[in-house]
Amino acid sequence: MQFLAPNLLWWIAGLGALALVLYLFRRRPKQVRVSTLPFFKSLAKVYQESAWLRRLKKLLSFLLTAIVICAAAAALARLVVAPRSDELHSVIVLIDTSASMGAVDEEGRTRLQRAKDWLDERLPGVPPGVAVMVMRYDRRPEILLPHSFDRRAVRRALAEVEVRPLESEPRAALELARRLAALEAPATIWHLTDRPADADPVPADLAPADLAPADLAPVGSASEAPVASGAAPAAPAAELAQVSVETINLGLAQPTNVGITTLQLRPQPLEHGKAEAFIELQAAPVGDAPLETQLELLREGELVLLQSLSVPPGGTERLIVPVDASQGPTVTIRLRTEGDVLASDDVVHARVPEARAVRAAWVTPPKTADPFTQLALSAISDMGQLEVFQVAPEKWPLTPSDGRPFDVVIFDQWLPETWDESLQAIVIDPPRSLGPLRSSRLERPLPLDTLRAVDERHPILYGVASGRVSLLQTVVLEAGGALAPLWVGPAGPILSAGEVRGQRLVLLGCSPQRSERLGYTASWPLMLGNAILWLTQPSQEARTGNNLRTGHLLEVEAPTIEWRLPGQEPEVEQRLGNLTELARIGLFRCGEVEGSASLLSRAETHLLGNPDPLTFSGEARGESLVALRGDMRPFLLVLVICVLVLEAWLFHRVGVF
Amino acid sequence: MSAESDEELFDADFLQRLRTLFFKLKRRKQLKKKGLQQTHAAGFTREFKDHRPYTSRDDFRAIDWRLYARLEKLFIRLYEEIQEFHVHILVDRSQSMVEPFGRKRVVALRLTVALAYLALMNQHRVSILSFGEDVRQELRPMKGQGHIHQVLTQLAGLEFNGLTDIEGSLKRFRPGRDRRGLVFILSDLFGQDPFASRDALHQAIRWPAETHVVHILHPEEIEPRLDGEVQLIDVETGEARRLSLTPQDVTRYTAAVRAFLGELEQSCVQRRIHYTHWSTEDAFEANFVNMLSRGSSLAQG
Repeated sequence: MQFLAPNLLWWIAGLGALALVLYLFRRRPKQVRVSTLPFFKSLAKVYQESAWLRRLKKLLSFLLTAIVICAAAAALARLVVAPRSDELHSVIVLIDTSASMGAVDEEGRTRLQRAKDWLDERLPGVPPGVAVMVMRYDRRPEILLPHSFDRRAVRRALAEVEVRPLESEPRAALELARRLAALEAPATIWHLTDRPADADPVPADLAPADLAPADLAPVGSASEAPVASGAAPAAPAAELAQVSVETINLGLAQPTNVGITTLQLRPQPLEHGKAEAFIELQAAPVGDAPLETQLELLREGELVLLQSLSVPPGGTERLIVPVDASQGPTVTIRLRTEGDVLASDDVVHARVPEARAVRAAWVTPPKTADPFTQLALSAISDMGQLEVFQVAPEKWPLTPSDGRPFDVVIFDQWLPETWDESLQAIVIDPPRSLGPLRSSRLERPLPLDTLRAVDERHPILYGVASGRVSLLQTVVLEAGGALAPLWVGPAGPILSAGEVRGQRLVLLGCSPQRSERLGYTASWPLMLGNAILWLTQPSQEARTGNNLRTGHLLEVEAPTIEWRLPGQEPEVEQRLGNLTELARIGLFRCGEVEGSASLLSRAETHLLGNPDPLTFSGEARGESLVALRGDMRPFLLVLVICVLVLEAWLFHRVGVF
Repeated sequence: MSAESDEELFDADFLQRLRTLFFKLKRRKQLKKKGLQQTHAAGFTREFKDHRPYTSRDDFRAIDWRLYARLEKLFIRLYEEIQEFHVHILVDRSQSMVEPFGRKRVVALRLTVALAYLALMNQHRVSILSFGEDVRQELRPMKGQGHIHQVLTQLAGLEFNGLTDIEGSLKRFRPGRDRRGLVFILSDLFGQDPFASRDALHQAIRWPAETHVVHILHPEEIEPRLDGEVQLIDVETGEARRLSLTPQDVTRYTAAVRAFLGELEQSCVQRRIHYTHWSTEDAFEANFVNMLSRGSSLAQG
């Protein structure tokens, strides 16, 4: 028995003293001298109680008043009667709220609703002295209600639980629940999920039999409060051993489900304004027959592609679908499968990558401009993927007239005074060293008929016939560091590429116009085009539309985030801080960032059949109905009311009733 | 407890108005001594009263021959018979007459003075007695209005205290054969047992006199202004009783007292005792005249 607010217990002393003072210095009856006492005595014989009864009633009144005061003070001090050490102290309700809990049964009820129904039946059986905690989890665990004896608060917390289209990560949630349960051991965890009990990823170091003190060190410090991030307080091994897990499998018997597990939109190589969508479908491992499904591809709500697919149970089906960026900024891929129980994995909204030509600045002295390089850049520009601007060194630093920055800068036979680390650059025949570029210029160019390709699979060398190239080496590049040599001659590296502090560089230590068997061959424009694409790859990937999975933490400075589905009005949500967890399926806009969020989870689509719905497994602890346990406030308040009514009936019923 | 001063007890104007009144007895035949009591019976006193025609049953000695000589009709002469009787005044001198309402004592003493004055003025013998735990002769029988000062002096020094033993007192009060006349009992009749007081009045049957009981009460003794938790203390015995009174209890008390008064009056009527309920708040003079008139003990001269 303990008081959660013991400082309020002083009330009992003060009020008790007050009651004692009132009793001791109670009002004396008025003394009246009368000559007709016999008449009053005859009256008293009939209607007045005797002196001992009156004294007894006064004493009883005082006792009842004392009971009222003590009970009220105890209620104020939040009296809690703890159960015996061997009794169950707490129950943790751990609910899986991931996307798969939204799967519906034949009656149209989701698994989460079945979980709530199950809790409605079980919670009344929990003794009043047993604290109940409510937790939910999907990608991250969250404590909805700390240990509480208030069953109404528990029901309110459960009523707020909803399915979120996110993937589940039960390991961290179960670990956190175990450690929290150990704080109020003996305890049991009711794990309501749609996974079988043996699928629970219980960490090996948390198994009670194998626990060692060193393994019990929490993720955070011992003083840290349990947070949803997985940091949990330390718990002794003995108390962890008193925590049991009861897994309630809410899975359906034969769930039919086909879902989209992967979608990638990427620009088509050498195709301006066109992209392709890589789609992977997965079917739940139920039954033997392949599942027939129809894939619909919609652009801004209009169907542009319909394809029937057959997916084997538990298997996957992959396909690539062309997407034309000119048909709209978004694409919706939807699956229609007969008897599908999970809707959240049947639709994916995505933004089509922006179709924009690469802007390149070719900075070279006009008098010595390399015609082969000019020819190669012109050839690439004709394909529509590249916009090349020849810039004289005198105009450095670059100030584009239209305000659009250059994606790539090609320094040909010239280098600026200071190195700009924000540029993606190709350096051809550098006159000196600068920034990350370390080179030594040969006094006499060295013709090379053969050179060694160090990494022919590098994207820059894709399609380049390195063995047929002969060139005139003018500069020896220094090897090592982040720049990897691609071509190496007798004097040292000729072609190097790499990423230095986020800046991609391609260095070429030769003069194409003086290298006959480089400038005249197709390898030169091909290598140049590859280098430009490789340099712009990060920015290109950044323009893939930000098609993210739900649960992704979006870090953008913006007060609101706008969600939209094709053909529907947008919804605006306020943001707290700069981090937002994408917990919805749809297209979003947050500040300057646009993107989409989709489930795309193999784990959630992979619905397992449950031959016996609501199977109980794990160590179920019997609960005994023990009265006067836990939070005594309701009992004390009822006691106060009853005593007041009793006192009113005993002593004031003539006036009151 | 000493009595009031003479001035408080002696209301000269009121007593002057009493001069026109006198006592009369219903049962005059019992009287032997002659006094100033006027009766309708023809007697042989010197005071002529009237003539009436002679009948065969009349004494022929009473025929007025002088009138027969003039009128030739027989008439007899009627004389007033002057009778003398005793007036006994018993005053309750217990503590309950002064507490909690001292007005009862004043009323009792004023009433005693008035009765004594009326009797003395009419040449009756007056005896004043007081009773409490015992009966005590305060003034021996006296006659003549010159004794009124003695009456006032004695009553002014009368002490009121002690218990009320009305039963024993009335038993010990035995007016002699020659002390017939009127007996006035002035009391609140509250003893240790009011019903015993009621029974004690039965003694009056054996007295050779007409008995008048003047029950002096204060209005709050009938309808007390009490409520809540009170400790009641009997003024005579000191007995205490703690009660929690509600308005309903007070109503029940009033009903019980009124029932007692009703029983008392009924009992007195049955025994030919004249009973008068005298409230201390009533007008004294009107109450006095009314008391004697209703009791047929007062006549106007």
